[in-house]
Amino acid sequence: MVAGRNTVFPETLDYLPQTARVWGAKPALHFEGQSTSYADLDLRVRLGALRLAGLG
Amino acid sequence: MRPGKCVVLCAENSPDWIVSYFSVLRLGAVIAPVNLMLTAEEIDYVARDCAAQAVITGGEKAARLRENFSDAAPLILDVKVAGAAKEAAGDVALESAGRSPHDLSTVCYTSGTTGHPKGAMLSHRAVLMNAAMTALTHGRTKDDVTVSALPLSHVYGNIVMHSTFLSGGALSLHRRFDTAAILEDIAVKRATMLEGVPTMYHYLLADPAIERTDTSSLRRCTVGGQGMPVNKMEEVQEKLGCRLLELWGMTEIAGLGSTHPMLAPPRLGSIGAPLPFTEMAVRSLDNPSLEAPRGEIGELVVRGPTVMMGYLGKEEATAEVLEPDGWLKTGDLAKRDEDGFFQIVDRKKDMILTAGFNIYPAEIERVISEHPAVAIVAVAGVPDEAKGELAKAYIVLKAGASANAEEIDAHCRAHLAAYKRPRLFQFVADLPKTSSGKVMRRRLRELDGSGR
Repeated sequence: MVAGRNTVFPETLDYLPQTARVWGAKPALHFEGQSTSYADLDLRVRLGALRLAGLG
Repeated sequence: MRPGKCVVLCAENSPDWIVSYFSVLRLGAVIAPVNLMLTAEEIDYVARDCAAQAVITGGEKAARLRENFSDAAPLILDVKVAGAAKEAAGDVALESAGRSPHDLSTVCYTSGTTGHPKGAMLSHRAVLMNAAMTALTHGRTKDDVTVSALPLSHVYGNIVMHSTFLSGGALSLHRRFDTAAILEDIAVKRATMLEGVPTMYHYLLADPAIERTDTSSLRRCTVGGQGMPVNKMEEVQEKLGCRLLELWGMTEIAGLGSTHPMLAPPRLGSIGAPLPFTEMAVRSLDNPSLEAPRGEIGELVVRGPTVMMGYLGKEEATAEVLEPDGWLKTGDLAKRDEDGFFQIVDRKKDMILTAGFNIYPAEIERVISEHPAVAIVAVAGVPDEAKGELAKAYIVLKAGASANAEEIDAHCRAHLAAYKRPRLFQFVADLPKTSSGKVMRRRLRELDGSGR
């Protein structure tokens, strides 16, 4: 038997890829006159993670 | 960065904070968000306690940490570096670290009113479940625009962020609380939701601009972190034109334990009912193995999937609050009504013992705040040779209002039993507050002699 898991609703806090797929260009964040979409937020997180992975 | 190892995040609210937070989680590492107000020595303690592999911080704090950090220092990273700018175009491939829902996601440090702060260990499931159930209970949708100045490092601000993102809504984040900026944001962004602690609402009510701000887009607001007098909540509802949903929570349960569902009838003065999948009960103070009868004061306990795994490296402290069958002792005194709604009476440790009577600062604060000249009030116990402790009220008056101690005392005489009345009153310009805006009762005594 192959167990199935919910592939839409996230099960860990690393869920931005899922929300970015669903909401894409929709604004996720407004801050001091700047808006960031879900897709851009996820891209920034990927870049941030790559930078952190390369440190130390 | 290694999966499963801690990274401390200490920075003010910004997109960089959010990017750093999720970047750490993307790598499968554990995030330890800490209060920006912590000193270099305190961050040093936290970083050692969780064996941090890095501390992400910003500006002057980064420089001070590099100077002050003790031996075996972790990497000190600037939040602007970790929160990478969007300078790279195209797709950036990065494999998921593959954590499971039961893995440790967060070490969340408690305020540490005495001694060192304790790190509550929270699983991915605990934080995610809390955010999802909060979003569900408050009826969040993709159309919501939520205004928040709550610190993202605080469990309340953190859950606001997650429940917004999980619903596909937009978070209008503020670096810090400023009444004019918050009111303008509500009007300009057509915000549907505002979240805050009682102090923030007290300041909003005291700002005349609230009268001329268009808040008609708001569908509901939330308030938590501390109790708020019912008359003030009614005033908020009237001025903002929407429901104010009370909530109760704590670091050790990753956020909320109870709140009011949007669909349920209003019941101001109650913290509502438990989140789905969460159990709450009130234990008898005389016999903690028994549940207190309905309507009687006891200690609030909570159990469910959001409860922490324990305090990091502190088995004894964990055993003091977390029972083998999963019940967490909250330290809050509460009662439960016939309909299953809970009401917080006070923090167990804030209770004042005067001449053998237990009195609760929150009850006195509720009464004094009903005086028309009072903006904010906080009550604490002060030592007294004859009675053990006396209640003292620290009062901030509304701008342009006047009242003296005799008038406030007369108001208390009319509404409080004699033994509950404060015996000392001090008028002050402001009250000491935490970074999340909550009044710090333990620091009230520092005001002694400063007012009139």
